[in-house]
Amino acid sequence: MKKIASTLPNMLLSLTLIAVISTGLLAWVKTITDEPIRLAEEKKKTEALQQVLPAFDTVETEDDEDGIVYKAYHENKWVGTAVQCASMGFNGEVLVMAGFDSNNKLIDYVVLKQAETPGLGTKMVDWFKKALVGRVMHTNAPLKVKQDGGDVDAITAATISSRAFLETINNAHRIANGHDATTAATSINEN
Amino acid sequence: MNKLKIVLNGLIKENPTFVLMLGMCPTLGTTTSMLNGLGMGLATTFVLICSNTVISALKNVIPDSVRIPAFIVLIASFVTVLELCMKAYTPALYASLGLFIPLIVVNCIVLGRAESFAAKNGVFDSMLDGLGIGLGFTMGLGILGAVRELLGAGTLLGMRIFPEDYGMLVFVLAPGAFIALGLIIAFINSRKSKA
Repeated sequence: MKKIASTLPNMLLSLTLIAVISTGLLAWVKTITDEPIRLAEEKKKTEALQQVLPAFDTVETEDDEDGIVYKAYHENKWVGTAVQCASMGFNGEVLVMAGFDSNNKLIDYVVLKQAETPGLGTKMVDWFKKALVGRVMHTNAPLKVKQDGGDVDAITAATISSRAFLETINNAHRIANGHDATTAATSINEN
Repeated sequence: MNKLKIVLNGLIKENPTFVLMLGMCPTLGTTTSMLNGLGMGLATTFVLICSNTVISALKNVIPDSVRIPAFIVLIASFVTVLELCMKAYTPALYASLGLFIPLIVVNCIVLGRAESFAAKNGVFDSMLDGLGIGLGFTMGLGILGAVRELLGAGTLLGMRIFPEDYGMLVFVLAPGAFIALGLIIAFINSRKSKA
């Protein structure tokens, strides 16, 4: 077959057909991947909740203007609260899920989304576990890196990422506390 | 042309990373670890094979004056298909490479091969060229990623080779990417000039 000439009708027809077929292909792929993508995100969330909360059987989701609050109940008794919230890191948003038990103790955290510098800021995924997991939080004494007069070791050469991370944990705790107060549980709300 | 020769051409003689020096942006950006490098390489290979095959099949119905927009639309569609599939079936890989996947659209290797090979050769040859160039790119990214991961973090594919404290952090960062790439290319050129 000979190559078709570059006349206006040919060009219009050719480009239009290519665009239509590509759009159709994309629409089809989108419909078949929609469900798996939703499931994958759901699974990620459930796994994160299980990691940051004590054993629970039901979760109540509440929206807060700064994040999403998950209140966990075990046999109808409130056992802890997980908060998903974000702050600006060195390179875009740092999205963290942190869980607190009824005594304001940070049970664990999971970094859900971050785009920090590979090899530096990305270490936040594990770096702070040693210092923070099991720590009892107080709203009037937020976590700070050592450079800012706090007692948490910042990631070497990634102070901005470290600050952003601690800020998300502080925010998560503040949000969790605000919601616990309304649960009429054993919460200490200093605000 | 011999079929095997087309594949080997992309893998060695016209290796996109070390010889043609195309697609340097994703090369430097994604090779912070060997796994990321290989993942990016394979993702690009998929797009290259699809785009080369389809463009070669359609080359006679795409008028010359509009070939670039037509190629870009086709390449962008394949990249989006890839992105959706990765998001759905390999969320872990997507989490580490997600940022770079849309950039495959503007990767000059893909458009370059469409222009210089697929638009002039048959469908099967173009597919093989996509495979060869793609594997060459994967190999280049894998080697660079391995060097950077080993020197920078002391691990290889996540396995610890020596303690992290001895790692040279600079190799994980952007400057280290340039240094490592430069040294690898220098080494390859010195081998080639001897041969």
